[in-house]
Amino acid sequence: MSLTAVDLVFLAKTSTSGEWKVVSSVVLTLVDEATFEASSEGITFRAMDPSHVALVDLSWPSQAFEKYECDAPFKFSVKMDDFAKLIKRADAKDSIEIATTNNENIILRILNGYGREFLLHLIESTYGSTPLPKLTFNIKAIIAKKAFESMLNDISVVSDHVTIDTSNDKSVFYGKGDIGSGSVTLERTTPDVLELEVKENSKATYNIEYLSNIIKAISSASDTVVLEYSSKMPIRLELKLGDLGGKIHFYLAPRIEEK
Amino acid sequence: MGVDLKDIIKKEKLSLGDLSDRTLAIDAYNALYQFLSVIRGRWGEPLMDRQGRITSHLSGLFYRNINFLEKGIKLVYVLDGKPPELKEEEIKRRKEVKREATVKYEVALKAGRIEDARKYAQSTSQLKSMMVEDTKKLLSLMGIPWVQAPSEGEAQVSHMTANGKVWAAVSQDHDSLLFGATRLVRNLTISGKRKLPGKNVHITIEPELVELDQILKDLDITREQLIDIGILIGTDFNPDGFKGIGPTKALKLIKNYIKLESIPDIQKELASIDYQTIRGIFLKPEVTDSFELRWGKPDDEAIVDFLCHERDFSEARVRSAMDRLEVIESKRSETLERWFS
Repeated sequence: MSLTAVDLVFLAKTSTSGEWKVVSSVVLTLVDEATFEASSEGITFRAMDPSHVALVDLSWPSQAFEKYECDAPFKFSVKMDDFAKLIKRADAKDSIEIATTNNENIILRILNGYGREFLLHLIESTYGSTPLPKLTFNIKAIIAKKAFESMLNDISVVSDHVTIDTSNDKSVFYGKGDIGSGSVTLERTTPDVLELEVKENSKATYNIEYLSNIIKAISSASDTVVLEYSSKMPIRLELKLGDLGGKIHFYLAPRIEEK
Repeated sequence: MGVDLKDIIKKEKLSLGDLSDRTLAIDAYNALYQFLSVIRGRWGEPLMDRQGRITSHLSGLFYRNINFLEKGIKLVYVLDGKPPELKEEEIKRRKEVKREATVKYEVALKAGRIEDARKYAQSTSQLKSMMVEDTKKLLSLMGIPWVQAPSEGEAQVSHMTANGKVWAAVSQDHDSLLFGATRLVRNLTISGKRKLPGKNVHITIEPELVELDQILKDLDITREQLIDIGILIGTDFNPDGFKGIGPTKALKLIKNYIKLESIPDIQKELASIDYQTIRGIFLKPEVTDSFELRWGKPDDEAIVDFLCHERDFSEARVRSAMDRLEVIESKRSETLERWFS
């Protein structure tokens, strides 16, 4: 029996499996159960982790898909473990198609010469709408993702937190822990710094594990990181989801200041 | 108190650490009653300050919350509003039980029967309005949010889990499951070593997790049917339940006959209770969405002022508990909530 849709409500097809793999790893860093929202504009996802320290705001516009149809706004909630397992079945070059005909299941097709088709039961959503934090940023830096990632790896040797101190022409990332301390300086003239905008000198401290997890999850989907923050305020990272307009905003609350 | 489903539902053992970084909504009265009955002096008398004001609830709230905060557990306390009319009978019954226990306690204490006195003392706890005010004050000083429910606290807590505002409900009663709580954590406020009432035996109590979806799946019933099972066993709104029907039998009846109206042998008894209203209380309870959950930093000096200077707590103990917290807090991140409004 074929599971092919009769009354098509929603269909989204990507030409490779990379984007979905990134989306599922990013969402997995945050929550066990996820609610995606689809509309004619595209797919969005927004949620905080259980401790309300981090927030992911993902927008994946319809033009970033090879084929995209959505008659009416539609929400689907999945257990991320199961969803990610299915996505992982696809090879890099496989095309992924997600479709639905009702509110109970989604159909996931992995296409490459021959077709594989899975039906995944949706879960009841405990979805409450998540607002976005209201922030003004005094620092904006565009940094090569590789440089940002290796900075995090450097500082994580000595500390589980990184303090970012930006003034005029440079950003200094440093950490201090039981074994000692370390710092990485990225100057405006460093080739890996594509842009550095300083409205006001700013300094704030963030948990490295959260930052590392999101950077690992984004994998090679984004070659740059847009980093924005202000003193003692949350940081926002903007990461690309491929080259067709998909975008992930990652917010992280600062570490509580020591007295 | 509350519906007792423990014979028919599966639960999962948890440690406090498993709840780290989780937000939990707790039925405040349920927790306060526990503190009042468990936190007692050696004669079974409640803790009091020099003016004779009871402080068991404050002691429980303070030290337990310090433990939770240390583990990174984010609690929000939900206070009862006006009870549904049907509950008045149960409230009267509880008052009577407490009155009787108070008399028995005093008799036992006079006769020197300490074990008996302790046992009766545990059933005498009454929530006075001052204790509720104390609770709000201490929670605010500790930076822990509380929500005033329009009616049943249990219903409000369940509502908050169902729309994802918090991860789980915390209560000893299973009623939250009937109210639709997606997850219920039991034994949180009493976890640790406890003396069994009436016996000289200590047991270790661990928190446990019950998931509504899982229960309904395991028992292969709907939430409406779970409510009917609750009504058969007895809820706060029909405390006596049905004659000779316990959890196992109730489950069997509902599975065989689908709903209360179709069970042949109980129709006469059923006619005497307002079961439609009870179903309505569980399915469409009075709840609110206008509240704000914001966790702040404890105000150390104000806490010392309140607990130590006003209520005669040991300043050394209170300060050392807060110091423990500060070490942990300094390693933690703020939450994003601060930037939402």
